[in-house]
Amino acid sequence: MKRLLLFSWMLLLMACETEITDFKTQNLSNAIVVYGEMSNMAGPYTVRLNYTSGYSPFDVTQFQGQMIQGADVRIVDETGAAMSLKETSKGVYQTPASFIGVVGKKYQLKIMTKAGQDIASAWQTLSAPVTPEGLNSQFVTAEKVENMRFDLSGFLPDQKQVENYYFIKRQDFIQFLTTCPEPPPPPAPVPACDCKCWQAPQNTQPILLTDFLVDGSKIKLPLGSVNFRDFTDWVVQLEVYSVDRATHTYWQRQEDQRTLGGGIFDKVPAQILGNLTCLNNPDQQVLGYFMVAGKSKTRLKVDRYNSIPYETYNKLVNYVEFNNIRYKNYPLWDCRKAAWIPYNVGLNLPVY
Amino acid sequence: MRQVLLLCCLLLSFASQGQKRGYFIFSGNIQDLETKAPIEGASVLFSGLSIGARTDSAGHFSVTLPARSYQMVFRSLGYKFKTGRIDLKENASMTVFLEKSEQILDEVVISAEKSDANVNRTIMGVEKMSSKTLKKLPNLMGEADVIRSIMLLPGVSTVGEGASGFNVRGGNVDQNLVLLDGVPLFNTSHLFGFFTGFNADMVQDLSLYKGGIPSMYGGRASSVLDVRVKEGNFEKWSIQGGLGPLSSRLLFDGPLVKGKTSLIFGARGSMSDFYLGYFPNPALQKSKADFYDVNFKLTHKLSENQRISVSGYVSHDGFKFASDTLYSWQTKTLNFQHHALWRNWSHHFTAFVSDYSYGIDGLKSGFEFAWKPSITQKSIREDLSLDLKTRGRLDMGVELNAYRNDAGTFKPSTENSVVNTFPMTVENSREMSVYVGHSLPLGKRVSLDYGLRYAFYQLVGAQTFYQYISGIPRAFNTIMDTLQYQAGDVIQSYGGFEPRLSLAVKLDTNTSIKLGFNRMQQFMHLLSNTMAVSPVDIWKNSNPYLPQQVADQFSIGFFKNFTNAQNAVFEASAELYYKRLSNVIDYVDGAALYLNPTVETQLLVGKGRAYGAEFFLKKARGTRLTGWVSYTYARSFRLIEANENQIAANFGKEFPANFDMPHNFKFVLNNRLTKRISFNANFTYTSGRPITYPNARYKVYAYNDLYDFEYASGIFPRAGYLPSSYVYNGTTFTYLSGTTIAPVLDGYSSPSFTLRNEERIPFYMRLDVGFTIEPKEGKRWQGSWNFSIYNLLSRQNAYSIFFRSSTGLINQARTFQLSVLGAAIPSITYNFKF
Repeated sequence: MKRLLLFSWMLLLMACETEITDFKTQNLSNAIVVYGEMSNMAGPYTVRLNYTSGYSPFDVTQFQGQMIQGADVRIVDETGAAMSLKETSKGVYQTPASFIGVVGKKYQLKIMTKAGQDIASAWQTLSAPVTPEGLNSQFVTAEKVENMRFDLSGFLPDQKQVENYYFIKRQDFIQFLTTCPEPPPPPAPVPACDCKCWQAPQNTQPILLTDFLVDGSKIKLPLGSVNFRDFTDWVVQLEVYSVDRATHTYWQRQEDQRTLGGGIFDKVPAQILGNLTCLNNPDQQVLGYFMVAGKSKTRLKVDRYNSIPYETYNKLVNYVEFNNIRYKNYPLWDCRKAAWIPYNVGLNLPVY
Repeated sequence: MRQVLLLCCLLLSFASQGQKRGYFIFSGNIQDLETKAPIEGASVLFSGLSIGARTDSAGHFSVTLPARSYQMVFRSLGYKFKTGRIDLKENASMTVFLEKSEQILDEVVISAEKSDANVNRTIMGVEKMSSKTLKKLPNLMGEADVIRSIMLLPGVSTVGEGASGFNVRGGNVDQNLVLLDGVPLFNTSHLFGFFTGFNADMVQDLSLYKGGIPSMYGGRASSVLDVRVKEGNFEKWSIQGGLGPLSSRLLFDGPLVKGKTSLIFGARGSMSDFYLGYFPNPALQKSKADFYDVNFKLTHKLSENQRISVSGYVSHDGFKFASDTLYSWQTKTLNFQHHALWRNWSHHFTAFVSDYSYGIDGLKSGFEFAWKPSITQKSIREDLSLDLKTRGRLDMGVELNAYRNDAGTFKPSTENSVVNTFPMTVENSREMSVYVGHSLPLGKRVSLDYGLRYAFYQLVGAQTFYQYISGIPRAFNTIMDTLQYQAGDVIQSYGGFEPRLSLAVKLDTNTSIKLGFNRMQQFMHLLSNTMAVSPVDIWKNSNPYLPQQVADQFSIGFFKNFTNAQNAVFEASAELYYKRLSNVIDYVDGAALYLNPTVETQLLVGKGRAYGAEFFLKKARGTRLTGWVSYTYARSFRLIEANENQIAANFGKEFPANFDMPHNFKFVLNNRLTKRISFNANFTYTSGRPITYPNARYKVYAYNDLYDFEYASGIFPRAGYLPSSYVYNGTTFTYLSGTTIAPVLDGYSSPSFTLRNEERIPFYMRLDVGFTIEPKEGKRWQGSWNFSIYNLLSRQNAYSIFFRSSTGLINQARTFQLSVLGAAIPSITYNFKF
């Protein structure tokens, strides 16, 4: 009887989510998508312009919308000074590297397309940056290597009585090792072998934080943990943008749209509008955002060799060998040529 | 104020006409001789008169007769008839006991009224259902359910399984006034809307007013669901209950003082937490989905024509799905009623207090919090009814309500929690209503029901209120001033008349045409911009930015009854309606409603309209087969235009409401196979509800500077090697092949939405079937079994279609369909009574 009742309950809980793979709509939208950022850190600052693309997730030709070329793109400040952006590739516009935002100043993005659309962002104040504090890693041992990890921690100091909003980009850099081939027999010289490169699995998932309900407290950074599958270094880079409420709301809505489950707590779907409008044609929809924010960039290096207890060393050696972590079947003289490593950025990290 | 005085004068002038000598009220109660249970639908006939009386679901009847002697006949199908005599010189009442006949098969009745009520009644848009009918319908997990049952009626719909509440004739969920023994409920759901929040065993009968709403009802804009709770048996104790897969029920009732005082007590509780513990899935083991409800009613007869009652209701839900968030909601009510008949007056006094609280508990270590908004309502009302004999009936009354709507202070719930206390507003308001209604027969063919209600509302301090710069849409950064109101200060007043009018013209004894108009006002609003109403959505009082919602409904109907050779009664009707809504609430895109002290910046006010046609054919009485079939065509639209205080929704264009489902077909069947076994089934088809589809997709690329770094460093294009392999003579050989590393741009991929609710999700279709085995008659222990299969077709009805953005490696926004129930759900329930 108990099983029967349990079965009934299981049926009741059998809510099912199925993907609709043949969903297609024609691209009826002529919306322009603008995305740009500027901060108090060295540029160049990039602004990308394109149109929306068709909503067909498995059509690679619709992967990105048509770029908007030949536009006049400028960043103006409250004094009226303007900095023109140069089109460096199709639809990608950049400021000179010497142009740096000033904390406390207001900036606006202005675009005039070749078709005559006059687009402007709302004025944005470049806020003071906030730097993470207490960044640290702590080794947590386990019976199996798969379960060993380094827990990461850190926090943002929060100013009391002031609403603070943060948009954080996290980029991990993981050092990897390849296996060098057998050297040629003497007297041939042993070629140089570069076997230690960095992999940067691109992460486009932002972290959104606010001091709402924890005003004045240390805001804990949700950094999670990194694994212990090799002895190589692991670097976690955090770019913390101090943004305003409207910017945070924009990203939060993007996040809500990403985490939809279709259930009763999901908001009714609606267009996510940013801070850009077409001044000479209100019917022309402009999507995207021009984000002006004080920014700090911090790196936490996790030393996965010196930070471990001695007894775990042998376990990891065996693990690396057994799982062929160093790609010994594909020996290379130059690890940069390991094309199977996604986002293989080579021998060096990007300049800090 | 002058308007109120005018109305009072009008009311008194009506009352003065009520005294007319020579007529008296004869009332009574007809009960089963053996069980002392009230007999519903029994008739009382009087010698020399063509009119009679019929008992309601409580076994009561009441009729006004000229003073003289009468020979009477009391009869009910399945019982031996009984005769009696009365010399009527003053108001009188009696209790009559009927003995069961030896009939093999009784008539099956699925109507709470007499068979010609739908034709003879002046008002239309009314559906009545008895507790017997409720229990004859197939159900989910063996639970007879009030809200699920009324969804089988024309004009009533829901946005999907597991959605709280219901929609009536194009109205929002919060526009339904649900009264449990006269007490309004703010939440009627258990388990997110899978089940009704109160026990069907406690229900005497229910009336759903979709149109033609009598003037005694007010406070919500669309409909009234009036659920009456049973009284305990005054003669004999009995216990009944049920064991089901979802919950178990126990109800006992009987006399505390025989013939004078009775008590009925019912309790129901879920056993879901018990089951969840057995699931092998750790996530389900950590989940919680419990509910319970308790009702009681204590009734004391002060005399044959006078009784008082005290009733209470407690309901609780708690839900957690393997996360650190516990959702809960509970209702507590305590209700006192005094009812008396005096000469040709009927008086009904009600005083109650209700407390509805809901909210969220955060259980995450270090971030424990509690957020518990609540609404406390205290009310008194007096309803008077005067029988004007040949000039109909006059109803009048007054109602006073006080509300305390606490938006819920967010608090840390443990000492170690780092969250701050975040105070929210407490809104105090009061609402006063007076009404008068007159049911007036105008000859043999025409009858008129007209009434007027005046509702007056005030939002009072103490409260802090934000003022915004006028001339531009309200937003957080347009706050101009903060006003402090002291306790009792009036912040805002609203009021208005609500005329009600129904006219019926009988073409013959079985046919009538009816016309109706009614206006309703609503001063409390549910804020919800989710896919469906959730149990923790916030209620908000009308304020300077949120005027009262007003609904005007015009309706016309055609009603016809007919019988066949076997005396089965068929009721047919067609009703058309048009509803005009003012000040309906909508939301800015992506509105943030929770813990928002400036929630008015997220709200939009606009207009709505709904229209439809309802066709209904019911076989109300038959020896074996009863049931109904209905088809409804209904539309509901909203229009939110921009003005100096707000932006427009949907570019200022009219759009279908979230619950606009044009075609609605329902079929309910109840077939008694033998005296003890009956088969029942119901079939539902509705159009899919509206949804906003994307018309494009876009990506936001620049999430980090890696792309720029790789490009600047010349990392791509760059030659690399990819592992490849080939098979030769059964052996796999691997090698590195040259390739070029290509940059892959990545970012947030989001759907781009356009006009609101232009598309629809797939249609909804469901067939439920069930068998009931009734107990053998004459046994003290009466056990019955119910076997039912919900969603026999195992159809995965779409609850929603949603478009998920994505981040990550070359991921794109994708489309998903959610079906809440994905399979047929069998259930067995055992009910007992002794």
